[in-house]
Amino acid sequence: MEELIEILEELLPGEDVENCTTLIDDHILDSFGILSLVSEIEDAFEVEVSPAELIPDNFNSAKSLWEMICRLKEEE
Amino acid sequence: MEYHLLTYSLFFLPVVLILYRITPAKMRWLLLLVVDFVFFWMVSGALIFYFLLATVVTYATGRALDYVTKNSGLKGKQLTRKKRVVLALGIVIPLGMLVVFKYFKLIGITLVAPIGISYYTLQTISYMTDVYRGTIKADRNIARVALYLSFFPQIMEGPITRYSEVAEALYAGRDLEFHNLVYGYQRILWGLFKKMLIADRLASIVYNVFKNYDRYDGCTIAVAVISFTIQLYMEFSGCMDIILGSAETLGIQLHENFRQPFFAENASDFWRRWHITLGTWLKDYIFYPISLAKPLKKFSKKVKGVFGIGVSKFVAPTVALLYGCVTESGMEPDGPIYFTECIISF
Repeated sequence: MEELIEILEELLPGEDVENCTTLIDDHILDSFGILSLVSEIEDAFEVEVSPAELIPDNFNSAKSLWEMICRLKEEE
Repeated sequence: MEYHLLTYSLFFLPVVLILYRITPAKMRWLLLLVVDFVFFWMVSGALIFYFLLATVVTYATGRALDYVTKNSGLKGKQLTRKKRVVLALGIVIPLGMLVVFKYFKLIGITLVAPIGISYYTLQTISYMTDVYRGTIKADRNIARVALYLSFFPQIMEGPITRYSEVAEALYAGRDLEFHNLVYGYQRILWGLFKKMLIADRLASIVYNVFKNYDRYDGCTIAVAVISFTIQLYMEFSGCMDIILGSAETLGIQLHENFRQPFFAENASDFWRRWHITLGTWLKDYIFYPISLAKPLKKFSKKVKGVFGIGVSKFVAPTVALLYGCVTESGMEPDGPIYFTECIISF
């Protein structure tokens, strides 16, 4: 989770990424940002994120992102 | 039959509502399907054949994906590869028909397209892709798939809906409710006002100035340009009001397609408020899948190693944008520009 927070802080400097729950809804993460984040997550956690996972429920907060990563790791 | 004609709102729709009311609840979705086909036939006649073909292919592809997932004995990447082949084969036919009807005019062959071919094609792709991704289960009833694709208020102008958003409401056969009828018709009236009293009045002025621009001064031309923007918005959003109002009378909520676009704070915000459902469709079914394709991800990583993340993060989206511009250019008059701007905005 700490590594995920670091990735988010690097991509979104100045944002409270740890506590924010509306990264997508408030357009803090735009489509380019989502793709960069996916690339970093895949490299850091060795998971594959499919387009079906790119939904607000998974990307609105660091917590939901972490839950997605854990689920993808279990599925592999 | 067009939505802004009084025959639609004062005759066609009331007749549909009366029939809907007197039909047993379990059969109402079938009634809607018949009405959809009648509507389609009234506008496009025998061209309904192409819609039926797209429906059969969409249904069959969904069932095939279901079968492959449950019965092929494959797992993991092997399963994904097989499903991808099935999906690709399924998309080729409706997309191919769209390309023929839209692109052949570029080589001098003009074909009369069936109504709503762009919109229902996007919905077929949405349905098949959602089944492929496991977001929805393939519907075992072809008539229900046909209803989703042909729903008469949205067949000509959208909005582009997802199966998961409207299926339940379409098939539920809920009773008509007074407040839905009132609010639905209020919205239809508002749409007619925008279309007939604003858009159509502006259209004649704009046309006159644009056709004879050498006779007018710069100020008049500038006013005509602004008027054209207002005309476009009033025409399109007015039509959307009629469409959404029609669906509301039946108790079906369709997705909004406009959200006060001229109150946008910047260009990105504007494209999140204009033709919303097309923008999200392009993002979910073209932009993201292409950007996340393995060859592109590998290339992006190599670029990242050389030029850093600041450059690499634009590689995949740029390719997706270029691809989208080429494929979308036949669907909208200003397709490439539209696609680029709305994807950037999301």
